[in-house]
Amino acid sequence: MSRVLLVDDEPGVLNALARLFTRGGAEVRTAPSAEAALAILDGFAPDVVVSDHRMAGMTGVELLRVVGARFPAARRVLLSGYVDIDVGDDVVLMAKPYVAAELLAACR
Amino acid sequence: MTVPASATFPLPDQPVRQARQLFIVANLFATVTFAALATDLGADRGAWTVTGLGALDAIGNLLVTTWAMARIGYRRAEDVRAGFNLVVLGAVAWISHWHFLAWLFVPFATSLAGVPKAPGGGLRVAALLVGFAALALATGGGHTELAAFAGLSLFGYLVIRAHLDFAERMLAERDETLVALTRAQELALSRDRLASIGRLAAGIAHEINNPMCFVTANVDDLLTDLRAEPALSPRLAPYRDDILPETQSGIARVNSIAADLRRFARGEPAVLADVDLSDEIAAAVRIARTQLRPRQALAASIAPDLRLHGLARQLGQVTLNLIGNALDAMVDGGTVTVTLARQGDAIELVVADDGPGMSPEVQAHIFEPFFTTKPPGQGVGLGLAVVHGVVTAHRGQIDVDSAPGRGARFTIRLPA
Ligand SMILES: Nc1ncnc2c1ncn2[C@@H]1O[C@H](COP(=O)(O)OP(=O)(O)OP(=O)(O)O)[C@@H](O)[C@H]1O
Ligand SMILES: [Mg+2]
Repeated sequence: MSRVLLVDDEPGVLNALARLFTRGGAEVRTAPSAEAALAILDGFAPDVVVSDHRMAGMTGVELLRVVGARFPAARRVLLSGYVDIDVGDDVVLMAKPYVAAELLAACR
Repeated sequence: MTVPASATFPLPDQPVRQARQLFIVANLFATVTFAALATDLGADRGAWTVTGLGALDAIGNLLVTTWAMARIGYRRAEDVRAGFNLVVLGAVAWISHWHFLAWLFVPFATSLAGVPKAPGGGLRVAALLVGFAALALATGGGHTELAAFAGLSLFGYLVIRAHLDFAERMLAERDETLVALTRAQELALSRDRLASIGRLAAGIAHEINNPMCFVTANVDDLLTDLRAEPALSPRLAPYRDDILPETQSGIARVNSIAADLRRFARGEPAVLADVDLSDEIAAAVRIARTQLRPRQALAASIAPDLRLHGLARQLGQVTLNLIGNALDAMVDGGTVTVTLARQGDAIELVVADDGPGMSPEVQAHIFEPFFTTKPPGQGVGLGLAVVHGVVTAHRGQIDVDSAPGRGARFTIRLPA
């Protein structure tokens, strides 16, 4: 878990996540939208991507599908308050509010 | 969830109204017949007596239809009418030496007596026929005429009965259809109501969850950091020892309400998995046993190896919520029975208690979030809302059978 990309349109959530992973010793990048995340991915090969689902523009599920195609080895976590859709294979689904220990375990 | 037991639609005073309408037609017919009879008889053979009796008959029948019916009731008034007609019309027949036109009054009187559907109609017809027959035999009425007109009367009576039976069947069918429609409508209404409350609940849960996500994380981190601090100032120590832990439990309460709302709205992010329902329910029963109060018992009959595709934790919560409600209700003690069994294609979970049960008014609302009859602080009113949401998410259905004083029985059917 060295290179982590975090995506959420809620700055408060993004800050809390960044603190959690930085303290865990990861190299962290954050993006406020899926589009911004894709731009970051051009120069950053992640080991872990944690994304919110409902965001303006591209959704988290769509983003993680692209990530899965480009970085098959990357661990993908969808963090969501409310979904009623299929998240896709190999994506870990986590309910908000997350439990820090559970989220870290899912990313290991 | 219940429909008023009797959604019948009575026809007020229908027989009385019918009798009045018939009376007008009958009187016309009788007047014409009396006039024809009197003309044919001529003055020397009793035309005036017959006319007088005709007038008497009209007045008598008018009194029966208006005054007597209101006074002594419909059925007894018809009895009186039958007796009165037998006497007056019998006299007319006798005086006219059983004239052909006088015979007409026999089927006429009997069909009137047979119209009511009330019990006793047939008896009245029989009594009238026997009366006329006896009178005819005693006073020189022709046997052929007697047979013919008695047959005609009987036939008329049977036709009328057949029509009345048919009408009654139609009315009964209409009532049944209306009851079924009312029930379907109420079900649809309560489903609609729950669905729109569900959309509201999902929206609220989502909006609460987003900020609560970082509020929870921030408070947790702050407490962790404060605890890691070797020498905390006396100003901050209470935060580490009391204030933040208390804040955390408040946050946990908010989060659990939001999570329940989300379960009710079927929006909980969770992935379906293969669930051993038998294990899950057995575990819930084990947990519930630790919550039994004095004089409360919990009996379980759980068929092994019942599996389905679903959400294990939620199905456990469903069982716990139902048992918890039953235990809460049985304040004077009692037994909760949990049964899990295969029923055809489905798996059926029944949680039944012998507590105080529920009124239909309470039953109509139990699945709505925040509906509770418990005092503040003892019930949030989310237990059955969650049960409903989870069961629906599994494409299952839930039914309640309860009445005040007769316990409550919740039956859940889940497609396997
Ligand atoms: N087994 C039962 N017997 C009698 N009444 C019941 C039973 N189960 C539910 N009820 C009624 O339904 C109401 C709603 O139940 P529900 O579980 O949704 O909320 P609650 O138990 O009041 O609160 P919560 O479950 O959130 O703590 C209860 O307050 C009670 O009046
Ligand atoms: Mg409850």
